[in-house]
Amino acid sequence: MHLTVRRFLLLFLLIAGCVEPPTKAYDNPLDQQTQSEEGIEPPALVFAPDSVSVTSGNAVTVNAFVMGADSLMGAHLQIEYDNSLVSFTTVTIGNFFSGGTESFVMAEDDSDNGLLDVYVSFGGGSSLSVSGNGNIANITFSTLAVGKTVLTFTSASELADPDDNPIQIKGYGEGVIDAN
Amino acid sequence: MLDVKNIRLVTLSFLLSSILFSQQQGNTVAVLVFEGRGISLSESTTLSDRFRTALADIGYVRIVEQKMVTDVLVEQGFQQTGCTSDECAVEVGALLGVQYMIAGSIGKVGETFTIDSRMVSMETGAVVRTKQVTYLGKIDGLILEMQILAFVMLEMEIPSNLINARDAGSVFDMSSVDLEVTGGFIGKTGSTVAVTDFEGRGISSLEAQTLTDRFRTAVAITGVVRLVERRMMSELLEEQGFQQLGCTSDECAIEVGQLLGVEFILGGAIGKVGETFTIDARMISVATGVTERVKELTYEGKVDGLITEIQVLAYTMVDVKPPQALLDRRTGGATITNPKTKLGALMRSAILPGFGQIYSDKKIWGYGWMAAEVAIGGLIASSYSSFQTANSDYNNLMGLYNSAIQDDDIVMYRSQAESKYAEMETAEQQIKLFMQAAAGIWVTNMIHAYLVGPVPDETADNGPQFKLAFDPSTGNASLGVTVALNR
Repeated sequence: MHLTVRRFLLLFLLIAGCVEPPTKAYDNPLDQQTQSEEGIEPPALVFAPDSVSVTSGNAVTVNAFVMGADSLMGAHLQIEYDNSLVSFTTVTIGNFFSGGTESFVMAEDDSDNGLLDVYVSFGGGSSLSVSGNGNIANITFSTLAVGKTVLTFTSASELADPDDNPIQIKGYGEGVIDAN
Repeated sequence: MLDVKNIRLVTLSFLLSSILFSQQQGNTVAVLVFEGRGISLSESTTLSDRFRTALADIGYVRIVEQKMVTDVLVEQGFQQTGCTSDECAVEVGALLGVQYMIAGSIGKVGETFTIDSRMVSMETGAVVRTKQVTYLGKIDGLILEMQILAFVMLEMEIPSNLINARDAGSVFDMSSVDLEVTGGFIGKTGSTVAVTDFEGRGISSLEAQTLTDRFRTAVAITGVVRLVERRMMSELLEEQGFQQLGCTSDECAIEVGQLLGVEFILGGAIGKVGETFTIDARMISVATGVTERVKELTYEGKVDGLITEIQVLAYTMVDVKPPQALLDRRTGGATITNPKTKLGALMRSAILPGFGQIYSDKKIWGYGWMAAEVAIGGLIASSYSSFQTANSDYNNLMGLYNSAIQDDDIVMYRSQAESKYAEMETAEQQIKLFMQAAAGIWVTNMIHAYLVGPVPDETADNGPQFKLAFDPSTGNASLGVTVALNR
């Protein structure tokens, strides 16, 4: 008898437990509302997704995004990384600039200091520039050891309009490579 | 100083002993006329005569002439059929100078006849052998059954010619104390118990008495209690101005039990509703006045089947497992249940709302509680469905939101996801609210089930009761006070 009552109580608790809503997490790195709450205002440079996991020894690609850009034609991204955990492998142009027939991307890696400079430019399209949010570069790293590497955009990073005027960057997002 | 009556009895005993000792070797046995219930006196006398003759024919024992038995009975102031108790049998047997007395009764329930016979030892005064015959057929067939019983009583092989002479259409059954007994009595083994006649409602008083006798015999057969003789009870009841059937209340039973000095009183009622028979049996502690055990038996079938059922009930009442042989004789359709109680109603409503009320025959309340719980369950299910739908939509929208790049898409998906999240929260709140309501209804239904639950008769006292009782196990008198706290 007691067992039956206990079963009903258990069922009651089970149903009560099942109706718990999931934790709210609006963490799209390109969500201006979320980033604003974090103190990052557009235009900003962010990684999306802002955290990736990989097995140590494997390569992993992180996507650099510009958020809230207006009349963007070119960018210089300086990314700082932990050279004991990852090494730069390659970079490709993001689809934000891929519409231009003359768009290009190039990288300069200072592996001794863990600094990667990526230059990306839009050109040859129907318009001179792009606006809004977009992926401007996909950077591939090789993981060297187990650990978390925080990728940060340095203040040397720049955005420019078609007239080569600098666009003020108001926020810098961070990315994490978790090698395990 | 010896009076004339005693001198005559001693002389008669001397003469009897002389005659018996001059006969062939073997125990001397006297047979009392079997008490008849539901059959006429002449029939019971005739059947007893046939039994006696059969015993004599067997030649294994020496049988005292009926005339001598009658003379002693007359001297002792008994009617021919008035000496039916063990005490009387012992008294008469001592005067006759026999080793054993055989007494018994022949009853009729429906179309079935019962013969209960017992052999009492003069040396110990104890019943040393009990045989029961249940016979379904014409009364004429009892003549043969009495002859067969004579062999059975002496535990001798029944001649095949007697068995073959049985009517093919008759059904008979014979049992004895050889039945296996397991289990234990509620009190200590050997507690003294008296059985009051079961009250008959819808069956004849003779049938009720016959069934009571069979119940009494079955209780005695269990061997776990010491049973007070029926005659002793009858005498006491007569002294107290009760008819045997008039003492049906608990108060009367306790009063009789106190006068008898027994520890427990067993009694009850046999009723008939339509084609269904009910036997309500109860066991009352004389010392405390508390009803220690109540059993209800419901039986569908012919009244004859009650003979077996009441024996099974007798075993159940004294906590002894009925022998398989007895259970095999049941014709089916009988159930022994514990009486309905408030606690039983409470427990049932704890399992299923309304179940306790239905159990208490408050069906409208029961279905009402069930409907209330089902309705609230429906609301919970509806809210749960809404929650699940919103949850599914939320997960889909979050997938779109996380993969969105453009501001407009991000804002749109986030807005929609937040809306679904709000729906989830609303549904969650509703579910919790409804579950609390369901739990409240459940608990209220349990309390209600307890309040409207059946009230057993034994708790229906009207006020404090003071009972003076003698406890034979301790030899002390005790004063019991019972106060109902539920009033």
